[in-house]
Amino acid sequence: MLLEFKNVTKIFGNIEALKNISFCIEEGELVFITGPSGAGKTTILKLLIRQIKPSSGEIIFDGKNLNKLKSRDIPRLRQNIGIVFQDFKLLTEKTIRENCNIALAISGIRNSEWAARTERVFEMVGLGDRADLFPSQLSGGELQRAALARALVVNPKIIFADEPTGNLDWDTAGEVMKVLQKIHEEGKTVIVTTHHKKIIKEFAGRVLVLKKGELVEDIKP
Amino acid sequence: MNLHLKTSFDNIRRSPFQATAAILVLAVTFFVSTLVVIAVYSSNQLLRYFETRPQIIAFLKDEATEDQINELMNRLKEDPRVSNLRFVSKEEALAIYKNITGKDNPNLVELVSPSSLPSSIEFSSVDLNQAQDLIELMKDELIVDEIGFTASIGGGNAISSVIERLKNITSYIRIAGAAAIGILATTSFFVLIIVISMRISMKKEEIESLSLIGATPGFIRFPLVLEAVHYAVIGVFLGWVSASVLVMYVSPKIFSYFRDVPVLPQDSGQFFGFLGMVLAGELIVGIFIAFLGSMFSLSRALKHR
Repeated sequence: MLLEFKNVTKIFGNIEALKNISFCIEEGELVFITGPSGAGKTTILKLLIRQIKPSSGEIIFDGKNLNKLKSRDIPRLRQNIGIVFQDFKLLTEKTIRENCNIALAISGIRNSEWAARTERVFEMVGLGDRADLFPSQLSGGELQRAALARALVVNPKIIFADEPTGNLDWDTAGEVMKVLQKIHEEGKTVIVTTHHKKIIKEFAGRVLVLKKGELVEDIKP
Repeated sequence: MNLHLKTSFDNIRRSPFQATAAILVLAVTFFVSTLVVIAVYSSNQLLRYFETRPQIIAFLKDEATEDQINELMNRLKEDPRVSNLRFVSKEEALAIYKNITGKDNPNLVELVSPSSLPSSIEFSSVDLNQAQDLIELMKDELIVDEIGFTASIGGGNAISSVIERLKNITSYIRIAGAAAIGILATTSFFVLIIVISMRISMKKEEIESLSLIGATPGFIRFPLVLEAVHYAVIGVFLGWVSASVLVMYVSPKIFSYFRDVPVLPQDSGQFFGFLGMVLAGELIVGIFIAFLGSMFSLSRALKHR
């Protein structure tokens, strides 16, 4: 088992963002976490990367209890999770290639491997001719693919894409999803949060349905 | 190019005014520092010169015989308070006189013969506090005509007061120099803190993104520390070059004013070696200030995130 949420509750002030959630994700699964805005999808991501700690319950990732993780070990945890943020979080003053190189440097991957790794992911996400452009020079779909390339380039144990199709038209969203499906087919664990029902129907995967912080359904394909 | 090095150069390139302000403040600090270090070195050299050269000259009467002179020399040799004892004959006195006066007044030198200058006994006092006693002792000697001091700055009557005056001057240079350097170094420190804090504020989102994709605090800090170090290295170098050029420009006047007092190394190799050592020392101090200033602003900014 790669990831397990055990009776996780997260309370912000007097708002219960997650209510006693439990689920397990095995290695190589494609999982959609869906639900309306404010259902707690992004809170799951924040908990997974230890941006926040649960109010109660346990999160086990790759055999480690994240509650017991020391501050100095958080960077290592994050290096093992390829995150595609809703707002991309690309470094605006760096080209897409440099963004990927920085991710590689952070993960301590040798300089000599950078070129081969970046070329491979650019080809995978279809950004070969855009690699040396800055984020401001790319379209929404290209930015999403660039964020995906940065997440993939370090070969993480899991890819977590937070609303990767949120701001995209259907065609572009479909292209991004096809890339994520391809990554999953190569054996990678992929978690996608989305509120696009069409996407969930189109791409076969396990679906966790959240509603007002509760896990109301766990639909296996 | 190294990723961090490129990031720090990009930061400098994208905020030229902040970079210029930081570099100029550091350059002024190290310009003054270089001048103070040179002034302290020169004043020390001046002090050492007067402390180690013969301080007391006993001019002998013309009728003093060789036996009388030898007997006085032997007594002084045995005196533990006396050092650097030397007899200067009339001929040697003329040679010294020619050397000092000849360049400016060749006609005057022609008029002087060995017989017109007295022979003398020159020596130093091991302890300056005993110099006055030795002078009094020499005054009582029958063959001694007159007692002179080789150092007489500011009209000091006793050698000890001359040396004391020099020590005071050196001490004033050190204190005033240390105060000036202290104030400027503190200003540089705060300017670096402000520049790096502004940079952190501008790069708030970038720092957050780096942290979320797994960058360690060290990885986030490194380009910013490197940026401060660049400011320091460029500032130190500019300050040092400006001060060195100024010193080199005025050095002929300094050498001619102090003549045989080695206030600055007169050999060009030694002179540049000395300036090189000053640069090395200043680089260490500059990098230390940059490191401290950037780490201080980073720890404050990252703590409050």
